[in-house]
Amino acid sequence: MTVVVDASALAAAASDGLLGPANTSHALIVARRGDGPVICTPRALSEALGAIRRTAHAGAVTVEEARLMLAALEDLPIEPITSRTVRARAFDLATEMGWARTYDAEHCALAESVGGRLLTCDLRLRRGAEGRLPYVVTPDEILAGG
Amino acid sequence: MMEITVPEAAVRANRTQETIRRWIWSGRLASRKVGNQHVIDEAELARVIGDAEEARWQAYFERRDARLAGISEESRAQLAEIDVAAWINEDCDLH
Repeated sequence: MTVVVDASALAAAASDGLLGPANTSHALIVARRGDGPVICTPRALSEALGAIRRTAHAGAVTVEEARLMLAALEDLPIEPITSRTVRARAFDLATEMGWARTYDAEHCALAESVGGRLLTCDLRLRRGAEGRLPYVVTPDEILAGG
Repeated sequence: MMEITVPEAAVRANRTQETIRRWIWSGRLASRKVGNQHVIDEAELARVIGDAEEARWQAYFERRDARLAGISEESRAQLAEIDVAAWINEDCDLH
């Protein structure tokens, strides 16, 4: 099964092995069920980069430690996918969900387009998707067998 | 058994048609000829994609561990105390 990751899951995966507790990479392996690629939107990479920079700027990690997370982000075997169809669907999905922005809708639309799951660590997105977007899951749900 | 063409397999695998043909030529991916084109069993393609993805992740973890090997035990202990979920969700609330 193809797995889509949003920016929060990308940033968390990039910090696995460094920050604790690490489980996002493991959840990705499990979510693929052995045969699917892991993909993301190009925007997710930029957003994850911003999240890593902000954690260094806030002083939670050193710049050098943040660089290690950046190296992991660039190295993760995750393919960014650009799609005009996905952007069009994201606009409609954001409208249906009542979201002012299309950030989350793009990740969701990509997951819909490949019939896959969207892995997120953003609990606000997960709560908003409850009962409406069943393909949105967290690493903990994946590892619990969901 | 469902069979698909090389262009269809490329889309399914998120790889180029050239990569799919290379997998066939190298014997990694079984196929059969129908006329002048190769057709591939969907289940066989899924197996090869799975193996390729598994190898990519394994290699990634090895490179990651090598990058992290230089961090001191003291730093590791401090970093391990940072809760990734809390950091991510604080950051998500910022934008």
